[in-house]
Formats: sequence, C-alpha cells, structure tokens
Amino acid sequence: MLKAEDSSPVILHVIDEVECLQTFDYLKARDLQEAIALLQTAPGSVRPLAGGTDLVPALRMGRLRPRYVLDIKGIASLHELTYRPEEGLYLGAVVTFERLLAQTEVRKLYPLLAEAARRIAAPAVRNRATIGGAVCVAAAYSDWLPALLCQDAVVVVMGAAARRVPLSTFLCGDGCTQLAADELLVGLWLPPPHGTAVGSYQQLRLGHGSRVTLVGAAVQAYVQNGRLQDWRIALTAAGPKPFRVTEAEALLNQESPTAAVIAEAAAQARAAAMPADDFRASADYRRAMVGVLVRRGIESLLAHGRGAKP
Amino acid sequence: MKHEITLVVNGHEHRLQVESHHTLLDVLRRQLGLTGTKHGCDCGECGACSIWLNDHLVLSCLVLAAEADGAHVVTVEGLAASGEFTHLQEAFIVHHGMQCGFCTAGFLMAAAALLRANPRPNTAAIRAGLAGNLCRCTGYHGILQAVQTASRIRR
Repeated sequence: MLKAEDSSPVILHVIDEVECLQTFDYLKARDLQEAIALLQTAPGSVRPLAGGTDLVPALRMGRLRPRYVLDIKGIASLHELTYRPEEGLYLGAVVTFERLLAQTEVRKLYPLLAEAARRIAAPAVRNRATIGGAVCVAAAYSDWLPALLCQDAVVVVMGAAARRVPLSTFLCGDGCTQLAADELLVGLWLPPPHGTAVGSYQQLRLGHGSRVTLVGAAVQAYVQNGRLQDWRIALTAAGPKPFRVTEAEALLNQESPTAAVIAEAAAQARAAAMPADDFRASADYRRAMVGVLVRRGIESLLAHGRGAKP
Repeated sequence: MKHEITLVVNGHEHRLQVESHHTLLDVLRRQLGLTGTKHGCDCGECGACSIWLNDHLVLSCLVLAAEADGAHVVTVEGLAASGEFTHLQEAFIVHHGMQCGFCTAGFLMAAAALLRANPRPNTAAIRAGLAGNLCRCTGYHGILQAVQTASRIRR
C-alpha cells in the first residue's frame, strides 16, 4: 500500500481509459432553477444523477451516452421528507431508501412502503439509491413501484411549468415514463392513510441482495371496524410495467376472504399478468408464481388481522 | 472534463484531479494506490468495492469521483488504522472467513458497518447486512461465524 504522500495526480494517466465510463461532463446543480435551465438548454443530452445506482452502470456499459451528467443532490428541496396528517407524505426525489426506512412515521403509517424499501437490493445500494431515481428508471421488475401504486402516489414534475401526474399514468412501460427531456422529477406525494394500514410485499429473487426481482406482489388493506377493507394489490415483473389488479381488489372488497375467494383473487391476478419470458424465468413460471405470491400476501394480511405478525 | 476534488481517505486529506467519468473506485485504486478495495462486477451486484462514504456503506463502483468531493472515505486499509487488526478482522482469520480473499475487503466493510449500527445482530440480521456481498468460493459459513464471534467480543 502506498503512503498518502507517495500518491500523486501525475499517475492519473495510468487509469486505462478503455475500462472507464463513457466520456461525459459532470455538472452539479446548486438549485432547482439552475437544473431546469440546464435541462432546457440541452434537452436530451443531459442526464440527471441522483444515487447513481442505475445510471453509473448504464454509463459504464454504454447503454446511455449523455453529453452531460447533472448531479441534483446539491439541491436542498429535493431532500425534503415531510408528513402532514391532512396532506400526506411528501418525499423529495433524492431521499434514499435507507433514510426513508429510518423514519418511524413511515414505518408506522405506510408499512407496505417500508417493507418494499427494505427488500430493495442490499444495504450499500439502499444507502445511495433514491425514491425518485427508482421511479424514473421505471423498471418492469421494480420492487419500489408496486408499493407506491398501492398508495395512489402522485409524481411531482418541474419543467417550464410544474405538474402533478398520478404514478399509474406517469409510468408507460419498461424503462419508460411521461417525463420530458427538459423536466425533472422533484418528488412524490402520498395521500395520508385512512385508518391503520397493513401491507405485505411478496417477492421472488435469485438470491437475497439481488437487484433483479423475478416476480413480486404488493398487497395492502386498511383495518376498519375490525375488518380488512380497501384492498390494494399491485404486481411487478408481471408485465411491461408494475400495475394494480383492480378486479382482484374489487372482489376482496365485496366478499369475505374465504379460501375460495382468495383463490379467485389469485386467479384474477394470474389472468391479468403478461410477464416476460427471459433467461431468468419463463413467462409460465412467473404467471404461476403471481398466483402464489398474491395468495400469500392476502393470507399474511389476514393473519395480521388475527393478531399474528405479518 | 477535469475536476479538482478533496477527499479525506482513512484520515488523510488528498487534493486530486479527476475526470468526470472516473469512479471513486478508479481513484482509490489507481490514483491513491489503495488496492485493498476490489474491482469486481463494476455494476453494483457483487459488493467487492464496498467502502464507507461519509459513514455510509456504499459501492465505490457506483459513485463518481467528482460526486465525492469533500467526502470522508474509509477503505479496508482504514479499518486497522492503529496497525492492529480489529476484533472483526481477527475473527475472519480465526474462522477462516475467506477462501481466495477477493471478496474479503467488501465483506469486512459491510460487516463493520452492520456491527456499528447493530452491535448484536441475530443470524437473520447478519445475512441481511451481508446480502449485497458475493463470495464466489461460496465460503459464507466462515464469514457468518466470524461476524457472530466479533459481535460477541464487542459485546
């Protein structure tokens, strides 16, 4: 090991450029106005950088080749995290998953959100990865989006004008969102829970810590008058984008959750799934597992209602 | 584009000139010669390049050097800063928590971060804390035992 005084910038040239990232210029925005102005000056050639856990590998592999990489972590307002009982939870775009998990209110009021955040990749990734970055990446196998869809999350976008878009509309496919090249996702609004929420995120991965989920199901309900009501079910890696299974939700809201009703809800989720067929898993396997995961999710919430831990 | 950055690495301050596209891993290994941190998958899957950035466990292959301007970094070389191994490092030796050794630096940084946040982790917590680190020799058992032992010594 070299001592600190032995090192010198002179040896910089030994860094093999072939192995390095694609060439781009790193810029750091001081405030939102500056960031938006840069995005508007060179739309399409600027890529915002938050946690970098998806962007840096994409640059490394040449999947993305922006002229500029714009670090937005210096913008104070993007770090905001506030809960107001009447308005709900506001999450700034660059709030990391570990910071989210450290909030007692989030864990208590949005248990599904916390459980999903805990299952994203591994600690070193969650320390950097951001709640806004994961929305912009819009992966078909995202562990984060199903939990957000179950909260009816709204995306806050800033560009020439500010606009708010429901997350379900904002997502348009695998890796595709409604965000324009001259806009920035600045945060997410989550409505306040109406009652005590219970949630379960069921996930199949190749291994703990893996960043790619084979298939996943988020299930949430509210405890009202001793019953579970307002069921919400969202799937991931079960189609081009994560989505809610409204038929199964309606069924659970109408009927008592007997074994037959649960099986029917799982069958509806299976029928709604249009999973990919790839080297990680076949479409048939994923579809079969959608049914299993939805059933386990519902049963886990019912067990919680009977006093067991979810 | 070149950037002048300041990094405090294992307690030593460095003023460095880096390119926009250099990662923190590139700079630690090649400019500072701190080759204890390993260059594995280069995409955040294997954990070999785990370091602490401002006291948070991160993957140095996923951080641009320019982003880290002004940061405090601890690498595996900084764990035994006093010249003596930590309890954790001793426990890795006792339990042979390594085979080829390539993943060891990353495991040590992840395990030390885990023990700092949770001094008495149960087995599930250890597994969760080390979930982002791969050992391709599949020698996980010794690693798990080493972390358990270290947590008992630290009490």
